Amino acid sequence: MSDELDLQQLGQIPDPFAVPGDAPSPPRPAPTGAGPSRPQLRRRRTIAASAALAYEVLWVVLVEHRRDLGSLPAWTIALGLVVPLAAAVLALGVVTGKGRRGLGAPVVWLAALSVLPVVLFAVATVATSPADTETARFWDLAGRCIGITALLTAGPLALGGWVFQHAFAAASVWRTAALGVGCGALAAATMSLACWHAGALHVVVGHGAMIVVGGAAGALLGRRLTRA
Amino acid sequence: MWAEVSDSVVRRAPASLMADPNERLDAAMERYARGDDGAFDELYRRGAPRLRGFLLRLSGDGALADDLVQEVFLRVHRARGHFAPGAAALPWIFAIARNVFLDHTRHPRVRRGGELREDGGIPEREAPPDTKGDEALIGNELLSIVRATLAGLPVLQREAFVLIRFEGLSVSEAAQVLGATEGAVKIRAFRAYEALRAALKQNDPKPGATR
Repeated sequence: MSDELDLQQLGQIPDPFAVPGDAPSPPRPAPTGAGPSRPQLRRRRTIAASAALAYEVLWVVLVEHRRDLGSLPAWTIALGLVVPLAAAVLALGVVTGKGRRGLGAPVVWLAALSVLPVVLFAVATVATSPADTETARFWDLAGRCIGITALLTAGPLALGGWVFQHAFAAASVWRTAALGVGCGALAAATMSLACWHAGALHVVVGHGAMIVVGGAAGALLGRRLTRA
Repeated sequence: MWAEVSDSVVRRAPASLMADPNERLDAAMERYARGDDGAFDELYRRGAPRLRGFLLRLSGDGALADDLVQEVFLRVHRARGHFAPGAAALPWIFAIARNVFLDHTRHPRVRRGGELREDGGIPEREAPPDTKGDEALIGNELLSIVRATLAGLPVLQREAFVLIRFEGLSVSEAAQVLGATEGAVKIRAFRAYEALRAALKQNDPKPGATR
């Protein structure tokens, strides 16, 4: 094979279906029912985003928050939130980005930008968090946090599935994986307010595992749920 | 024979979608996305012929292409609110059409019935009765070879080749429609071209007529 594809060469192949005047069948009646318009979807997005945030906030307020929340310096709380929230914003930018042609970013970018939030979260957490102190109970504590983070990821992911149902004409697997990554990162941010264990490895594994699992769940949902 | 034929075909090759955007189709899609149900008729009138051509080249079956066109427009309706403002409608619709075609090829009934081979190829068929375009100029034999070879190609190669050669998309546009990298799409299209070229060369009565 030649090293380079010469597009002009493709023109040498005649079109076996070139049909001047060929016409498709007349249309069936215009579809009715489930076909939300753009304004309706905008409302749906607002509702879903509000509900997802409310779910996370209510968890912290009503179910569980770290015992030392009132006494922590503001910058510590902010740092715990900023890293995962930055990862979430990056991932959700991949989901909603329309790209140059309305089909999302090129697939290479989608792949890179879907993985980047995971790396960002892990590296930034290790760089900014103290070392783990309770190494003996590491897996007990991490396992508990993974369970809670799974619940905190599932709610926003379900809402995302509702909003982005049949949304992606192309690259639905990557874009839905990014949605899962974003939801996992949002849950990790919530966990920084709910869990008082701030050790780097605990945060990466206990709070961050769902970023990866959410991405994998999103990728699995992509073909069936979000593909147009 | 092939070299003479190809010149006339090359001249008729469609311009890039981006170089010659179908503004009225885009405008109709934009209105439809905003919720104007009345735009559907214009959208169908302008989009369906191109869409049918694409699906006919992928499936090799006029009746099936007609059915798939209807399914594509149902999905366009379902997804209309997600159509990005200011985007070109045709690549977006082609991407949905490709999903519909792949779903059709994956359908258990299609696979059980042997309509599709394991490699995703479609069986050789008679041309639809209304396909007389190039045939008057080129001859049935040549087009039959292309049709049969195209049908025997794996779907991934066939769709890349069809989008670039017959639908006039650039490699970059085709890559976005197919959700693949530009490099992968180039290789697929080129492999399809090589298979078609070899088939034409093999059946060319004049030795050395092809390059």
